[in-house]
Amino acid sequence: MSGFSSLNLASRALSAQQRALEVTGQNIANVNTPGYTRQRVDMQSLASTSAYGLYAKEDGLGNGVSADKISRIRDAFLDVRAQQEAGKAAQASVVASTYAGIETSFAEPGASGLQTLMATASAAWSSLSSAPTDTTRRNQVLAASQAVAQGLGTADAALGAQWDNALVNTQDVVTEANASLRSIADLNAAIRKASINGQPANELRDQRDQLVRGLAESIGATSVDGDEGMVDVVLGGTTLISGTRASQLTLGGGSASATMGSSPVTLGVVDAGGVTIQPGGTVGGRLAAMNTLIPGFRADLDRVANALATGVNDALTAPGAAFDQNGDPGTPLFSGTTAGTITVAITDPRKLAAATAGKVGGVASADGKLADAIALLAKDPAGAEGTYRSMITDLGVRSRTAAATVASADAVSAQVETARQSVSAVSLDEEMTNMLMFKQSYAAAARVVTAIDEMLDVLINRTGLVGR
Amino acid sequence: MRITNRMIADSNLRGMNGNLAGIAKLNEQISSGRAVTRPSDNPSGTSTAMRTRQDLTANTQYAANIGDAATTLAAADTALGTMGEMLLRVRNLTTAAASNGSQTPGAYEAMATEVDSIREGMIALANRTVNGRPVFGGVTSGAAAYSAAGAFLGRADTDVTTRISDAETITVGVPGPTAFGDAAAGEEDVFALLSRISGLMTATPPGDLTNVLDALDVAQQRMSASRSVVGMQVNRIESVKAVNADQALALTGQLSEVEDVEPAKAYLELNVLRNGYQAALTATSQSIQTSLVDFIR
Repeated sequence: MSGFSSLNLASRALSAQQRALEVTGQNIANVNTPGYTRQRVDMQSLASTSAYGLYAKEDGLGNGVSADKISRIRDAFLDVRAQQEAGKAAQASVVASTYAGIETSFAEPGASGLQTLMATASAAWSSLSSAPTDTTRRNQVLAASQAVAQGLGTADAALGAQWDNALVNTQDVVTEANASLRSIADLNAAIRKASINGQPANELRDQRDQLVRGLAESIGATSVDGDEGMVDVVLGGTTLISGTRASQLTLGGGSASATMGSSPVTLGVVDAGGVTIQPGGTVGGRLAAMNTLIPGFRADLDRVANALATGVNDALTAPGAAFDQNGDPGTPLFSGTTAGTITVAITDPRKLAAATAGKVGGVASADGKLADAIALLAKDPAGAEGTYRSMITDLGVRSRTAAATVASADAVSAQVETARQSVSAVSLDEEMTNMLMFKQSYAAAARVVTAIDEMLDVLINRTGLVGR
Repeated sequence: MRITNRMIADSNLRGMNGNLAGIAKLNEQISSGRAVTRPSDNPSGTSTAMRTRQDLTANTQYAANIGDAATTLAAADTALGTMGEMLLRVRNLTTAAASNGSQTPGAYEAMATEVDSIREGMIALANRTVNGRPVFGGVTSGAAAYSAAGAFLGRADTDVTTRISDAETITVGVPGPTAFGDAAAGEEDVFALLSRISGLMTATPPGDLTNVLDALDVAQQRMSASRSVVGMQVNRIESVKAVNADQALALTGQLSEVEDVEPAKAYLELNVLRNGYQAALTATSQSIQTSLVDFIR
């Protein structure tokens, strides 16, 4: 090996250590950047150039170090797991917040809930039974019944509003997901170009993986490593991104809260002829809320309204056992049998039946026994109050379970994320140690240059001076 | 395991968040005074609370019903008492008229006028209303129990009842025919009797008033029997009122047990959580304070 080639070796060492220091600097700079994956210079010792030939000579010494490749430190398995768990956690969180929203719209237990309105109506009936000819009390029954009907309508409207909000929110999330899908495909193309040209594209990959992570949270998609540094994105067996080609998503099905339950909202792939897919993540949670949870509770609320209307109306129109203040047969109090349509049909307080006995000798009965019987309907476990109560209990149990699911999904997601960070995140202590190491190595390599320089100096300036 | 700065920061953040969430929940409970603010806080407790609230509303209404009944009974009692005294006055007048045949026609006239006015007063008392319902009218939907002529206008076919608890109703008051005589059953009611007495007094010559005294006694007995029935009902109402008040207390206690925060327990828990939070804060401030950076020259 010649002296000049030794200089070459030392300069390669210098530039390798410098490069490593630069990468250390990059790592330190991005210690708090979300989605950043730490990088490492892959140093490799260079073998001597061996030429095979008749007069080939091999002196057996290496050629120093190469530091061409900079790699990202990651665990692909953990990355996919983190995506899956983030999707599950996002879905659970949306379901739990839906339940919390439904709980808020019912305001139970408390003095402002539907329960209190129904109890007040019952009390008004009982009060009427105690003084059936008192017009004030008759009006009270009408007003209290009106309040119950309005309370049912308000709760129904609150569920409808929650459904509408969920739809708008889902549309936003899908729009964002579509933009992410396009960006990922573009980044795939850029990464492919870079890797063909042999350029590092670590930052582009970080950016892309961060977008995939976002998609995992919003629709529950996961990534599969493909060729030339690209990734494919799949969702429930459907490929959304294949290399540089991205599909787009669209929402189909019901578009108004009025048709909830009968016309489910679906997520379809535009390019695949509108194939519907089962998403996870935020969209998955919202679809469950719009197609199952909210319609379920609305149906329950309709059952309460129906039990109320049927119970009271049947009592008020019982043949030969329900008479109003004029002694005429009673008429129904409620019209409509769903929470959204129920209204009070009687406006004249005298028309409100309260007696079980008819006219005798032209005198209408004011026995109040019918009013008493209607007041007692509240104690019927299968009546409106009982139905409503079991509905609220059911809501509480399910909301509680959903909250527990969120807690456990969050814990799992955090644990996987910790494991992922254990591999990929930057440790400042480690970078500092590396920095010391590379700095020392750089100094040592520089010392090698000095040594060779002195050798050459001896050779050039002090050799062959005999007789001068 | 490789430990990175981010991991420590994240786990510190999670710990502090968890502690803070617990503190926020407890703070909400303590400041609102309620342990159950939404069904998921305690599903079975919510059901109990809702049922108890319903029972409490019903109980309050039963108390109001009992109040209504008490008012009606008080009115019936005073009316019957006053009417008894009025009837006594009639009896005195009748005795005077019957025993002293030497009264002048003018005196008979005056006595008849007084009897007539007593009759009118009694009809007015018999028509007393409470909450728009005549006290002696039975289950009538009309406004009066007796016409000005003394005819019964009400309905005595069904008892007037009031609900005083989920399981019980009580009869309130006595209908006119029971208290004053049932004209429909062929009896001579007190108003007809007074008319007859007044008629006998104004007749010329005045009729024989000695045998109306027996009829007056019968009327008097009917009224006092009714008054004792009313008295028994008042007693019943009094005891029911006490039971109702006890029940209201029990229900309020029950509701408070389910819905309200137990202050001692809540404060203790809050302190435990606060300690945990402070520990987390201390650990956080200590753990990522230093790194190798501080030791490299």
